[in-house]
Amino acid sequence: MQIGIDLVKIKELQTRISGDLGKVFTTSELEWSGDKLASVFAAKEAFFKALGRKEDWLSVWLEHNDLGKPILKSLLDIPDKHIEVSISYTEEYVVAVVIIF
Amino acid sequence: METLVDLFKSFEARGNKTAIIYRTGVRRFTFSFLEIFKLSLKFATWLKAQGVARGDKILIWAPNSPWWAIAYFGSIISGAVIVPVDFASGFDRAKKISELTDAKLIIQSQYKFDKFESGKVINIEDLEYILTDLQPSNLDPTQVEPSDLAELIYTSGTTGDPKGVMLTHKNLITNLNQITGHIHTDSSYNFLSLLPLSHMFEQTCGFLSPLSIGGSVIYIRTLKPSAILEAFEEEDVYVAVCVPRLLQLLKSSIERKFENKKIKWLLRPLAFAVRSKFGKNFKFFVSGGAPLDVVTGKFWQMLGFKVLEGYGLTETSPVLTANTLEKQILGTVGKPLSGVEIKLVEGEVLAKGGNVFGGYYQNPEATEKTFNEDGWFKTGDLGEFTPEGYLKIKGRSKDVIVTGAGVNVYPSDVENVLNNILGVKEGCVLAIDHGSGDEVYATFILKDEQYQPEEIVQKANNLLDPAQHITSYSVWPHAEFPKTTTLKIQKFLVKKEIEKKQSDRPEEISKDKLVNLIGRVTGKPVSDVTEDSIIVPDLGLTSIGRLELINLIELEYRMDLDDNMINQKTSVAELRKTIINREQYKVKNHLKFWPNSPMGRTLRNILDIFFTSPVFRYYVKLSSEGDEIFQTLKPPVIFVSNHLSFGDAGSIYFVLKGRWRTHTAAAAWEEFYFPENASKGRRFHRYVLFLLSTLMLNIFTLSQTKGFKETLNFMGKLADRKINILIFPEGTRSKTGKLLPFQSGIGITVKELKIPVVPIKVSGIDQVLHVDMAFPKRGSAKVKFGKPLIFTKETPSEIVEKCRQAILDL
Repeated sequence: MQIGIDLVKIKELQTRISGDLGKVFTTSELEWSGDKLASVFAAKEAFFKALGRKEDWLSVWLEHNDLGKPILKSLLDIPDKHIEVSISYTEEYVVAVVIIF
Repeated sequence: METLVDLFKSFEARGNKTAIIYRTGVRRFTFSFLEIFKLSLKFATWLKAQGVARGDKILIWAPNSPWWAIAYFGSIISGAVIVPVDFASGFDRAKKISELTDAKLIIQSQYKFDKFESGKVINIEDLEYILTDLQPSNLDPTQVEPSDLAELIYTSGTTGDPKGVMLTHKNLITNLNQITGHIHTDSSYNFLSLLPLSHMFEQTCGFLSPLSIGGSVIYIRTLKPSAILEAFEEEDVYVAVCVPRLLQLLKSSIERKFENKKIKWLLRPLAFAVRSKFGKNFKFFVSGGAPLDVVTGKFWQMLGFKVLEGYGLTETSPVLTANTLEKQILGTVGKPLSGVEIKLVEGEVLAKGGNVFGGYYQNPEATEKTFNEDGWFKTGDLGEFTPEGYLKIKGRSKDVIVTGAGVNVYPSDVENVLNNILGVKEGCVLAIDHGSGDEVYATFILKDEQYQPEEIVQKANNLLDPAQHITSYSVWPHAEFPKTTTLKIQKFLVKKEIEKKQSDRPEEISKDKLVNLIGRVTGKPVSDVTEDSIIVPDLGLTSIGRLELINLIELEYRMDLDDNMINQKTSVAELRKTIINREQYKVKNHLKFWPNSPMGRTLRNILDIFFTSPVFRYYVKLSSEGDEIFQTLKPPVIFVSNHLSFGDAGSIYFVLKGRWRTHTAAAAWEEFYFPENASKGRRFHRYVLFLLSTLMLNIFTLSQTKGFKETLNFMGKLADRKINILIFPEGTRSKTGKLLPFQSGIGITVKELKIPVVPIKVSGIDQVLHVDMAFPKRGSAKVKFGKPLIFTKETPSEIVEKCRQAILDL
């Protein structure tokens, strides 16, 4: 079992990342608002931490199940392939925890 | 032609001639004049339904694309006024401008963090879905007059004195006619767009002008250097409209390549080889926005390209003077365009003509100041005429800084912010060239020594629009700036002193750029950033910081980088080496395009006739169902099939007919053909298998572990050439015949490639070659095609589910 966590200051992310967002987010993620994109960023970063290595940003992406719970999907070949993600917000921060088991 | 609507009307008659080519990095889309015409009319229909009326302002804050053009013309024919905002600008600036103009509609892009959430706003990326089911509106010929306002462009002063330049249809059409009369091109000309459409220079010279003569424009979604070079190589580019900085950066990247190989002396004799990189028809660059230095101009002339330098301002729609194709004098901005009057009063360039604007929006004072009593527009620039009548610009009193991205930065805007930061007594912002073009440079006097200059600049940058960020700075070593009697800073003296300091220590300054960037991103004092510093642990580079640093380096050095390049162990020196050598980060893969070349196809056809087909048909008796879809189906599509056996791909391949068969490539797992921890013999066996499958069944490899972007780009290239893609989304063969869960990759692939999906069900083939069988036996198989599925705004998971369900339903 592997675990990863990432904390993002929403405003900081938004003011500092002004390059091509298409490098980090998939087309469907880009339809979301800025705060939500910050949570996607945190989830992806937490995923790479759990994985133990950095991979292409587009190789992992966030979606939601019917109940609205976030689910993380990946193209990468992870043994057994169970990924769990949990995200929490305050006004300023977003935190994401990922477990691969 | 009196209005932009008249120009728009000419599109219909140009029919299927290509107007716009759009390279997204994954796909290449073309739009004909007729398509642009119809889509713009549809957009006009939509605008009408939203209640947009004549004279309403529509703000466009989006990157260049065909949809920008459609939004532009759709609005223009509705009588609306376009308010273009640089996409590089931040949300605050866009918001301020939307308030100043009381914009009725905001067209923004999803490629921005901070977006408008409320009010009438749409994402430009959604336009194609919004317009799908709409009817084109009728053109109302009486609606737009030449004196009507067409555009409102904010140049400076969103921090202080707002200056929205009002340009009428007459202004724009006048300048358009002046330019096409001055520089002759024709409908065979393809223009590569490298500057933002929010810039009048790009709009008139690189957009309206080619479209008015029936030429084409090529847009690239992200202006990465590799994408620019690719466009030069793959598109037939004739003209590129540039700012000097871009020409300088292109020049240094060419020179660097020769220097690295220590063959700089060969540059001149090998000019023909460099020239060929720009395509066989490349004719000239147009340079404007800032003065072009003679050395850069000469470099391009040496390579055999013309550089046509021109001069103008947003207020003049924008071109006033330009060199011509017949004659260019470097160091001058050419002769006035026909209909433009230029005179010099006390050295200042004054202009008159149909292209000169009427005034600043809701700002009579600024308007009054900018015209003299006889109605001449005061450019604020100093010039002189050569004996041949060519204008030379001696100095630009407005000191506008044109960045590499082609965005105008007005020093007064930056100074307004800087002067309000605690600790700053007075600041002065100017353009300084560190060797690769003008940068926003700030020098300031501290109130007290306790204030840290790094912190001051960081605070200022936090408040500034991203496009205006201060990239280098110094503390002014004297107690005062040199000033005129009216207490204005004499910037030319300040600049002189800074440049002198630089030329004394050129080494240190050029080195500083990277150190400055790293200091800025990590928030560490520049003195802490040493060559041995390991960027992540020593300097505390966060994941956001890493992405920011990579973006800044890409922008500053105009090169491609992958953020995986900065890892836990990368030092400043290593990063510098990468940048200096312009090393490309490449993922190794086994993607090969040759099986889809005419040669590869011929070879495959021959093998089919004499080997593959007879052998396959010896074992398998094939039948198919649902082929009627091919009567109306247009390539490219993605075939999505269940996976029972190694014979699946062959079964599908041999039931496909004609072009569908020859132009379909199948995806296979790279990990199967290139197992990592296998014996040498096994690896060799698989490699032979890979070559044979590539040759006979046109397979390509998909990797589950690395480089998704490369695979996606490869599939995009296939789709662009109308080659279909066959995918088995289960990822492995089903032993029981039951459909297994799908890999998630198919959803994202369909989403990015934007092509229809055809579901396929193969049955019976597991009797011929089951997973557990080592050798095939004779039998029969059936391939059933389902109706094509078209996806628009579904999420990747919904796409996966719908595809799977479609196969289950077969």
